[in-house]
Amino acid sequence: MSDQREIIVELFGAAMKYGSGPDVLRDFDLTVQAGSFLLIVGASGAGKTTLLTSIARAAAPAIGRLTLFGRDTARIDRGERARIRRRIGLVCQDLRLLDHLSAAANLALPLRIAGLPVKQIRPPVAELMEWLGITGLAARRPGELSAAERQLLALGRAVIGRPDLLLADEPTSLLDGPLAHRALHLLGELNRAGTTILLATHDPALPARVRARAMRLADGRLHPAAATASVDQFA
Amino acid sequence: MSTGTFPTPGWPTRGMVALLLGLLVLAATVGLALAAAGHGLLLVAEDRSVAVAVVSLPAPLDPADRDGDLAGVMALLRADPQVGQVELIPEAEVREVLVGGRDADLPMPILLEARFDPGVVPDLARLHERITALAPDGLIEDAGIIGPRPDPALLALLRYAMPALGAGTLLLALLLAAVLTADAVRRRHGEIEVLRMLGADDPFVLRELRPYPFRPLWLGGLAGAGLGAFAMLMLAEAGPAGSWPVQTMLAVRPLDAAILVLGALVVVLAVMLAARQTASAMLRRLP
Repeated sequence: MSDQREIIVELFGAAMKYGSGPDVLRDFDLTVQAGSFLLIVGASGAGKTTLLTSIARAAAPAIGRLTLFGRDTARIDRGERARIRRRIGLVCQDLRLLDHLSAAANLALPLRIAGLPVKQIRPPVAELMEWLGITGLAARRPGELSAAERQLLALGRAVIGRPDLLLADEPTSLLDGPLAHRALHLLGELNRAGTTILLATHDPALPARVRARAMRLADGRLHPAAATASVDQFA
Repeated sequence: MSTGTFPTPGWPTRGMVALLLGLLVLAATVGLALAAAGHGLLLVAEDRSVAVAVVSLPAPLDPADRDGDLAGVMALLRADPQVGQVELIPEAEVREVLVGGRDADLPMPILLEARFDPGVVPDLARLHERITALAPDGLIEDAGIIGPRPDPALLALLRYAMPALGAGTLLLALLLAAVLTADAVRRRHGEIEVLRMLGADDPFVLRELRPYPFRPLWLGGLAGAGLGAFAMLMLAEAGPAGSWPVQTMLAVRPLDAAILVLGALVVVLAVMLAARQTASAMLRRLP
């Protein structure tokens, strides 16, 4: 019986590069269905960040095709591209927090971009900060936070708008055991609520901690990898 | 949430450039205000100045002929719509001027002083034709202007230098604002990319990062309006070094002050518009 779920991400014969460097991924194919939780494991430099940021940009690759939510990115205008990006949550490996904003303001950004009024923004921001355990840091700027707190903040910013697609690049690299578990639990909850997740990591042990389909990125291609237990077993 | 970060604190060069922008806006506002105020005052001065001409009729050989020509010419001048006042210059005065009061028997020409209405530029050729129709040897000469006449240097300053200063500094301010904004957008490329990744459109990015030199613009505009009002008051009330002949004729009214503030606002908005257009264009060019 075929799986009829909506295809959220489809890359076909795509060439992608990091910045202005040479192509990191060539002739790359990927299909991600709605509700999937796909773990991409690969060594540093394998192209994980290139893959996720290329999807997050929602821009057509120089070669090949990228389709997001059924829309060919080569055929969308700037407004449509911005609307697609608002459906995507992104945790960057380098976090990319805005230094001139407070932690709470960073967290609120996706909701402000979505056009929510202030009084509808405060409750979810406060709730998520509490859930992430950074409530007391709301007024601090990213430069005044620890690395782990910054990563939690970046994760919170990516999920606060309940995106349809979450792209998480090494989202637990700066977190210790309990915090990493808390973050993975949050991702699991989101996925159960319907968010499609692509998580990239260089940590070969992570697949053992996440209930997800795992793929190994090597030589510019995806290869099947073992998927294992649920994060719930650590709860 | 953002307070905007232009100019970047702690970068003296950029701060100095922002200060320069504020000064340019100030200079543009003051220049344009003085040009407008000066032009208005010059118009008033012209309106209040009176042109004078002297009509000369030859000395009559027969004293009986004197009254005939004189009465006709005086009637003609008084009936002219441009002429406000006509007076016969006393013969003794003419004699004093022409021959130092001597030769009492020497016939003197008849001189009439015609004062035109304020602000009128007389058509002397037309008047000469009409006079010679009555007195073929009659002459009319331009005797200059009485009343307020500004210093030619001041006239050139207000009519040409001030508008040029205002327009020139405004142009420089527009260019500088565009350059500064483009630089600010380039410097904040990373933040712009983050906002775009989150789905922000260009108007949101502009509102959030405000890559415009807001503060120097508004400070320059406000200072320009204040200094412009002060300069207008000085011009109207005191005049530069006594060369202004319409002192105390005008005062800066509330409406003038309002127009001045609007002028400053227009200057500031023009520069801000240039900055915003530059920022929009830069954002469109970014990948």
